[in-house]
Amino acid sequence: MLEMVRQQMICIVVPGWDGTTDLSESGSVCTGLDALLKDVAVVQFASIALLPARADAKDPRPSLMLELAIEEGIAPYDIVYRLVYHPSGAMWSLYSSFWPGGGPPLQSARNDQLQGKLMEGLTIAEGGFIGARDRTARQIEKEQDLLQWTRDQARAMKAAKLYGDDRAAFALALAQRAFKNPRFDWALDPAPRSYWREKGASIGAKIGYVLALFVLWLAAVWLIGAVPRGLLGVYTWLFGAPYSGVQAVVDAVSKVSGWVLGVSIRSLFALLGLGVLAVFFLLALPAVSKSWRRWLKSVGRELDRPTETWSSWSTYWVGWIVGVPTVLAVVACALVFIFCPGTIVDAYHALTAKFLGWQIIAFIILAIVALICVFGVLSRIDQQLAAAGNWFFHPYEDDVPRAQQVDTSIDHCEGLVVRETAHMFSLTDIRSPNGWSAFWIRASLRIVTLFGRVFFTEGRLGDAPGIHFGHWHIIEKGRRYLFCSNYDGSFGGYLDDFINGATIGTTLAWRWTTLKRRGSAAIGQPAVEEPRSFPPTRFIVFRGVKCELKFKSYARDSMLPHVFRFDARKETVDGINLATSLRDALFGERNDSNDDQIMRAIES
Amino acid sequence: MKAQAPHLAEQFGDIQGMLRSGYGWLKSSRFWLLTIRDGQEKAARAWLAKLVESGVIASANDVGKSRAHPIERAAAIAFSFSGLTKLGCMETKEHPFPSPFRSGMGSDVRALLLRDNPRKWRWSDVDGVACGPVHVLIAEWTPKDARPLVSDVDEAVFCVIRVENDPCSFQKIGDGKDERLHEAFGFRDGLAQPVIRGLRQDDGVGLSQAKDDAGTLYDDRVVSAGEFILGYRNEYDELTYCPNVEGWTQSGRARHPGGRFALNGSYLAVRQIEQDVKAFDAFRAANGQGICEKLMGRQANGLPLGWKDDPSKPISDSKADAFRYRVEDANGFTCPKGAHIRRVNPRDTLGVDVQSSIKSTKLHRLLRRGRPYREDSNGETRKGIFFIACNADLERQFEFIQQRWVRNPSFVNVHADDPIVGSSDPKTFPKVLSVPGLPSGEEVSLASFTTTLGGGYFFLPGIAALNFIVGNDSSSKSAASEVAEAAAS
Repeated sequence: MLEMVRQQMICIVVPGWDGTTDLSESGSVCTGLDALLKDVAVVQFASIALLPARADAKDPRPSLMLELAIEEGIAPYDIVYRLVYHPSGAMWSLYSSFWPGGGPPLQSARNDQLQGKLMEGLTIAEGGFIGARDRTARQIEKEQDLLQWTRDQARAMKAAKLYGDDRAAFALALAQRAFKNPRFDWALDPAPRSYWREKGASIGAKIGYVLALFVLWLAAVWLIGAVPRGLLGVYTWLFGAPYSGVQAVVDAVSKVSGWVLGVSIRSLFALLGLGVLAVFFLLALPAVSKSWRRWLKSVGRELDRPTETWSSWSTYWVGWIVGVPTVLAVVACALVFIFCPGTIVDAYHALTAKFLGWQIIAFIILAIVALICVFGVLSRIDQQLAAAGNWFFHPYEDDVPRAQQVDTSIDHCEGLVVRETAHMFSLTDIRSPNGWSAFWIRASLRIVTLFGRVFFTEGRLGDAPGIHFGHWHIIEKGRRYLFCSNYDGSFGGYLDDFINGATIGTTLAWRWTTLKRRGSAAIGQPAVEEPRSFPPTRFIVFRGVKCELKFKSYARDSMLPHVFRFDARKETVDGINLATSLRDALFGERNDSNDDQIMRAIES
Repeated sequence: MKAQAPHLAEQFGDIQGMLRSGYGWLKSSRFWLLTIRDGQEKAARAWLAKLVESGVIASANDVGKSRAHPIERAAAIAFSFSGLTKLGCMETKEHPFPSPFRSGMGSDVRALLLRDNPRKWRWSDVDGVACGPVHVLIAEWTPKDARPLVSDVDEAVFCVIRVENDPCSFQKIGDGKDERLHEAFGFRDGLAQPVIRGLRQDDGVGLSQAKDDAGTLYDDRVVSAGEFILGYRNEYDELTYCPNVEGWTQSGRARHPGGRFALNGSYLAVRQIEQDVKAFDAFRAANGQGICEKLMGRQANGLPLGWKDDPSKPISDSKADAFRYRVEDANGFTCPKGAHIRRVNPRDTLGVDVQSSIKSTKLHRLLRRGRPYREDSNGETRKGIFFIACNADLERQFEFIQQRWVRNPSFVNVHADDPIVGSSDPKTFPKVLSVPGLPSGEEVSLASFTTTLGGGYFFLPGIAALNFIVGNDSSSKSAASEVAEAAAS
């Protein structure tokens, strides 16, 4: 399921770029590429950038990076094949400088070698998110055409003073005209969307999917134990008892199967238990207790606080002293329950042997009372400190050198696309030890991808709107980390959306990276003259991107300009969604909601 | 151990007064755009030092001293990046000025980013038709008919552009006694200002009265000091970045331990915007006042379009500003989504819910300190606004608003440019406004009502930093002079 998303966003990094090919916007290479990408018709977005070599790299030449965002269901090999073997030869024009002698004389042999080289440098995204571009470029184009047609029709109808103030009659007339127009026959079917944004969009479908997977897992584990047992039974019935070794193997398999079944079922219960605890403390209790809600909010605020204050410092250390041991104890209990349930039963028997039932109940009540008292004292201290004056919350100076700096080439790139979909490349280094960091990055990105695919189906990642594509790649054998994204709006606004709308995911995606010194890939391109670190995090997910100045400076310094850019459609995410909703409203059943949708579309 | 960040309340004496007040009681204003002629840097510094010494530069302390007897004159001085360089202030390598300020509003890349094409500017902080780049901006506020505060600018030292007050800009509303600021199209101006947390503005209205009038919506307008004044907590709860210049630390003028040069300063985004009053009047005659108010997003007297009480009954500005869009007017049936004031301050329109929208909008607020101006030349009178917006992060505030909200045809899917701001651009959408709620959405074609004549980014320094720039004491003078000489050589 995640592979399908990851395959839609690929990067091809070919090292050793010698800079002899003309990549100017009006040059033959770029115009040829543009025509090629239009012709293959399945590339939503493409761009080219030069990745500067690492400071410790043997080859100081930059790498040529081609980014492709393609439509769902096309394998990376297929898209590379379509591009390379296209009769225009545009890909060869781009990469020919990697064959200083001119390459093989036969075009087919050249293409074979090019295909091989590109597949060598190809990486699918480690994780990614697709906003409103889960539709095909053709669908977007046709729906925009319908939107424009509807607006024109509305203008004409208004000029003819038809339908007065009756919005419903006006919407109905527009729908009838669209329905009768053979140009829009394609719109009679509901707008096609990816599975999780269509049939799988309901919460029932998601829960059902997980439950079905779990039941299938249990069935498979049970079958692994049951099938050998059954076969052995049949064999024994037919031919008598088998060798003792066979019996022992079947017994062992059966035992392991039973153990895994038990562990799986107990894991489910443990997860449910942890879920109940989380819901109780994070959702239910805040709903009924104002002081708990306030306390929880203040803890989150202090852990996230970007400036150093006594309040955030003390919250952090209380978290280490109280929070971490408590969480570890709960997790240890869950693990004991899963893997050694007998220990709990034994402990229970030992307890009941020593104490009477009323004593145990009294002890539990006392523990709850003590907990409430501790919480009350902490809450009171919190309130007293808040009232004691602002020294507790007053920030200390925090030096962020060279903040709010943007390389001229980046500014220029952003200026050129100010009326189109914005675009960014960020190239950072993976923190040492690389393998450890890369493992956690991959795990985090899979979670981000899963959530983006299955849960954030309205085109927003968390609360961050306007993302067309966003994808992360680990390149150069786990040494560096590449992020490419297309979005609506300005870069600063985009990062603001991440900071406020997808805090945890963004922190997880970048916290294992750093920015090392590097030269520029070419004249006029940015270099990293001073290293930077990702903003410090607390308990992995807190703070991080909440340090706006540090995070934006880090992101800005890591950015690279594009030297070529292709966008199949230039509509914004909101514009794409609007056209799709108009299609569904015009050709759907006539009701107030659809009428309103039609009127909104033409009034905008 | 690190030093504690400065306490705003202890720094009022170092903050220029225009950050605390728009000087609503001083009804005359003038703006001086000065370009220092080559080789005249020393004389320019001496003239500026004399001006500062004369005591006309008001601090936030001066402004807040007495509400009953407010100050009777005030001036402020700000510098463009080229101006700072010209006067010998060289940024340090570790704490340089932000890229937008350094490149200047007049630069080509800013023209792209601000969606300003086509530009035909008379002046800017990067270049200018008559004088070259503007180095210094002086703003002065005086009572009506008072003599100018600045009168002796030596034209041998400076090339001067003077922007004169529009004497008709303060007008009475209805039968009210007080005169209020109006822009040239006849609408109330200067409303819906953010309130800086910890720096109560003194514009003649008591805080408790303002809070009572706004009710629960008062907090919508309270914004952290760091959004406008450098060195303090902003809406991200982070200390705003403070650039530094060579020689500042050694000058001994820093009022705060470790305080950098830009502490207590702000950035000004300045634009001279000419308003085509004839075109607007013709539009009003053709379409009626109601449609004009839909364009602006407010009634001419400053009341919200959705105001339900008696419009003739005078109310406070605080009350007139206490409204949101999302609950009562999500679709723009009352105030169109593309109306000017809804674009520049969408309040709770954007985002997933009211609270997140308000929070997000607070990241993009401007403190407006501009005034209407009038220009008489060749027997013709031209009017407009000398727009000044104070902000601490040009990219996140002024540029974002201009690029993503005001001049963005895709803003909330309206498919149109701002109805008031800027000339129509052949590359973007025509000037139209959709008025939702009618059968097909009334669509009004518009002329270009405003033209930008010039603009620039300026740094409004704290008082101590200002004295350092103009070399107003021996230590800073020598440090600044040395740097200037080094730069010149």
